Amino acid sequence: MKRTRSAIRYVFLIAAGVLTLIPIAYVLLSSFKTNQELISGGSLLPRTWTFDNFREVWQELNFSRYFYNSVVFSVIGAGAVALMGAMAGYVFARTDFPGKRLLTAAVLAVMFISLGPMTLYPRLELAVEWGLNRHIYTMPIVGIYGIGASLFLYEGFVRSLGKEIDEAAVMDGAGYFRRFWRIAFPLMTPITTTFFLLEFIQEWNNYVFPLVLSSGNPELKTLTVGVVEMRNMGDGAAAWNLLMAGSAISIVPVLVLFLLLNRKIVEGLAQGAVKG
Amino acid sequence: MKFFAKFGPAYLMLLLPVACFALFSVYPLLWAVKYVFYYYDGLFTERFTGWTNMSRLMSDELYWQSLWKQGLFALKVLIELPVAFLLALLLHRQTRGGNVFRAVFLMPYILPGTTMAMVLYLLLNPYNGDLNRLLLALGVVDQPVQFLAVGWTAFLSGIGLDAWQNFGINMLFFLVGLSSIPKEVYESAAIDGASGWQTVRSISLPMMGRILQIILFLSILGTLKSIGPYLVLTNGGPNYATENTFLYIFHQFFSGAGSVNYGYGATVAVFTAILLLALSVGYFRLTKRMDYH
Repeated sequence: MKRTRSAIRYVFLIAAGVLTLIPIAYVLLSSFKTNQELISGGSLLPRTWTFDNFREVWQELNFSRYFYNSVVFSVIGAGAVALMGAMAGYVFARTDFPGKRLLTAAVLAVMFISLGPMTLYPRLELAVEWGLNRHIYTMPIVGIYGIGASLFLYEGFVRSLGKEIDEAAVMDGAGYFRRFWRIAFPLMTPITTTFFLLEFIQEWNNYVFPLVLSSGNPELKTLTVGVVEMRNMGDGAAAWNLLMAGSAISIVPVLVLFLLLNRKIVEGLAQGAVKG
Repeated sequence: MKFFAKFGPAYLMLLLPVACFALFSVYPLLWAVKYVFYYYDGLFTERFTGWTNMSRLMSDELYWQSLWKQGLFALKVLIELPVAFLLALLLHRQTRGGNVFRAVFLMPYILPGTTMAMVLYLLLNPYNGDLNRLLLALGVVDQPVQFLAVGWTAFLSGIGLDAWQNFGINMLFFLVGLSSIPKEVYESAAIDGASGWQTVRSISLPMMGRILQIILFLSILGTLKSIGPYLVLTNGGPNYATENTFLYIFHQFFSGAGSVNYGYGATVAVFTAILLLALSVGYFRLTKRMDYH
């Protein structure tokens, strides 16, 4: 009785797992098919494996550039937000400065107001005015929201570190910045890693922001933008193999990251429910 | 002087985060509120128009229809949450390979949604799409289905994709909730001879309390402020069938049309944000009872 129940459980879980994975396997396997095979149909596995799709997309359709842009965009965006979260969280945990409650209220208010893609427009105007949308290194800037939910995450973490370490450093004459940079920030590494990873994935998957900011400047497109744009390539249905290869290039990096750092990422995602 | 010595470094350290927060989080909000009352074409013309934008919104049938679509889209949680909860229940017991299953179910969540929407777009293609091919081969249909050319199938396709991407995160949240319930409670229920369903109904669900309240909030509000896959999958078509409110907002600003009144776009966004804010407050009022821990 118990045996059968557990067997049923496994069968159910495996079926659900397979259903979940099929679309991902479909993209990865299709990216190795020739266009002819894709158009004429067949099994999930390619009859003949070809790497030409990747070569063509990477070299001729500028995906090497898009890949580079995606990396730069995600690293700068996630890095800046993580660093600012750490700084703000440290100050909030250690200093009762005048204006703290007002700032907390503002952060909470912003978190609960959802204007959606509208907020992109004024930021685009700023970016154009300041010339930030001309280079991939400056393009992420108007997306750096500064302080958000990360504030409370870091604040709680710094509080849990205890004040004693700081006080010892004060005795040694270390200033505020030195204490943050040399003592607190290194201790925050676990939470910073998790937060950075989650932000990185989010920025990597971001579509609307790079789409809007890169309009009129094709050299700034990221992978997500490049993939969708392939639909409008001259001959439409004729290039499905390239579309699949492009899609594979855009999903493999996050997939690998997720598989390698699974524990860290899952742990971070799970905090979303408790924090809320 | 003393004040500066005391708080100077703290303010200095906050300078960069607060500057970014003010410029890229707060300024867009204030911008939106201002332009509710303006006509603005993005270039030269900017003039005060009072409540004109608002009254245009009141009689904008496309907007009200988009709200309806957004609400329909939120019904997605009726598929997503039961699946997520069931899987969480199955994984909650010590299962060999539990971590592997957990990772598999979460995988769609970390992938770029627009890429997956693009892939679905190809799959649903009536001529060479593999889904139609499969359905034809299995004899489910006798001619290709024009999934994205018919309103309700296009809408359901988007719901399916979004549910596939998001059930995993909800499963994870449910797992967190379930593991917050002490084991002893289950044990005493088993001694009392409670059936599996009874245990779920009178222990698992109510005792998750606050976490359940948050899961429901995050998934409902999350869909109510999401474009979903429709920007890439259908761009709102056919004939506005998949144009939900947040896609409508996007189109107000970035549709590529010539003369646009961004003031009106701001009005649509602000009004919608107020509706959602009211809904959030209402939600927490109504579900206060759940938070009894």
